Amino acid sequence: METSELIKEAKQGSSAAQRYLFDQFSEKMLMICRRYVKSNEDAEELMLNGFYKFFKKISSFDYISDAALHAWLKRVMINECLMFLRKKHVFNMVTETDVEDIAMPEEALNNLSAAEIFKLIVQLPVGYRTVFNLYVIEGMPHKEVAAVLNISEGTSKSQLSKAKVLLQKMLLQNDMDYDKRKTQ
Amino acid sequence: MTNEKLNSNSDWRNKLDELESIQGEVFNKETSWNKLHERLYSKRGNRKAIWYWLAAACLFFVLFISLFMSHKKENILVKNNLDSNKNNPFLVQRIPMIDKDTSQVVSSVSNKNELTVHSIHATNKRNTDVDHNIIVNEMIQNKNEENTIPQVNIIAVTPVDSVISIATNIPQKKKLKVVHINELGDPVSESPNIARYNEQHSFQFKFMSQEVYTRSSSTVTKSGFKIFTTKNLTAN
Repeated sequence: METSELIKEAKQGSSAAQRYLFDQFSEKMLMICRRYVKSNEDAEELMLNGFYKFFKKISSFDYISDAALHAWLKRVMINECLMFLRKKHVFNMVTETDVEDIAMPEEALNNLSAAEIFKLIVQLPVGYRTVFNLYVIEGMPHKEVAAVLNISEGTSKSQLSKAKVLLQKMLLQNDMDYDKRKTQ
Repeated sequence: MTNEKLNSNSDWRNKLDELESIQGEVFNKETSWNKLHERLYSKRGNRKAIWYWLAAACLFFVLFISLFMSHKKENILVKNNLDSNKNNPFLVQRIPMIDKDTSQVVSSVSNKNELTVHSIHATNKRNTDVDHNIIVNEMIQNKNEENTIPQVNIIAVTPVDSVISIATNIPQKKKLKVVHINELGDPVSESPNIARYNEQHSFQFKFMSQEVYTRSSSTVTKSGFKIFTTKNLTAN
């Protein structure tokens, strides 16, 4: 069955269609939630909240393509995660005036598998991780990131810079470990 | 070349987006779906029902409280009214019903109103021969009228601050017997000076000789008018 038909049936309240859509997207959405929230239980809860809202508002969604549906679902999940993080008041970030523009270790990341990248990102502190996720992975500008997290633009930049530095260190450590393993 | 670079830059992002699971971490779709299904269908109904029941309970509670308060207020009003009636000697006097035997009533009424009867006799010295029976009969008639109306029951029901209760709580004025002036004795003669003072008039005249007469009074006497009794000269 095609996704457009599933959406149509889900709009009419078909539990089977909803189940099918859930099975199709739940794992990916859980991984997205886990990128923002460290705890597995919290991430699952947020993913369920996201799907609940998605099925509630599905009548206002017009199906264009699978990519659009995926983007919409992803947006819902990210919003849920950000709401959760805001409730926990985890964004006590210190602004630094002198922010170094550090390049992303793109090549090193490309050489890693998705699971390895995921594990590296999850190891970042919550502030660094959130800004990194929003700016680098979701592609939001600093202005938008600052507005979403209720922080200043400077704070967002400094957090990203620190995240990159930490990530480089972790990648270096990873390389050293990889080389060690290779030599052994 | 730049496109290739961009593609290679977004490679790891695409890989991350496509990531569905990590080794060692188990995600149970079935239990997760059951939770979601429960939230989507059964829980929603329950929540709605809970809110409806809560609203109904609140309404019932408010109604019950208002009814209870109003009932309590009525009880307090009636109790206060009864207490005030007990303390009111006027109302206590009205409560005893009339006896069937009119002779007993006559005696009781005459005893109660002994003072009034005596006072009438004291002031009306001329009419010492007034028939005592007429007065007593009038009193009996008034008493019968009072006793035939069951006023006590009406007062018990009405609230304290109503017009009826206020009217009943005010002690009635004693009806004094109207006595004609001729019955009191000889009429007192009015002083003639006082009566004729009003008839005195003063005038002021000016003649051609410029003599002005002041305090000229014309007093009405038995014989007639008396004019130009005093004269004053004014110097120009």
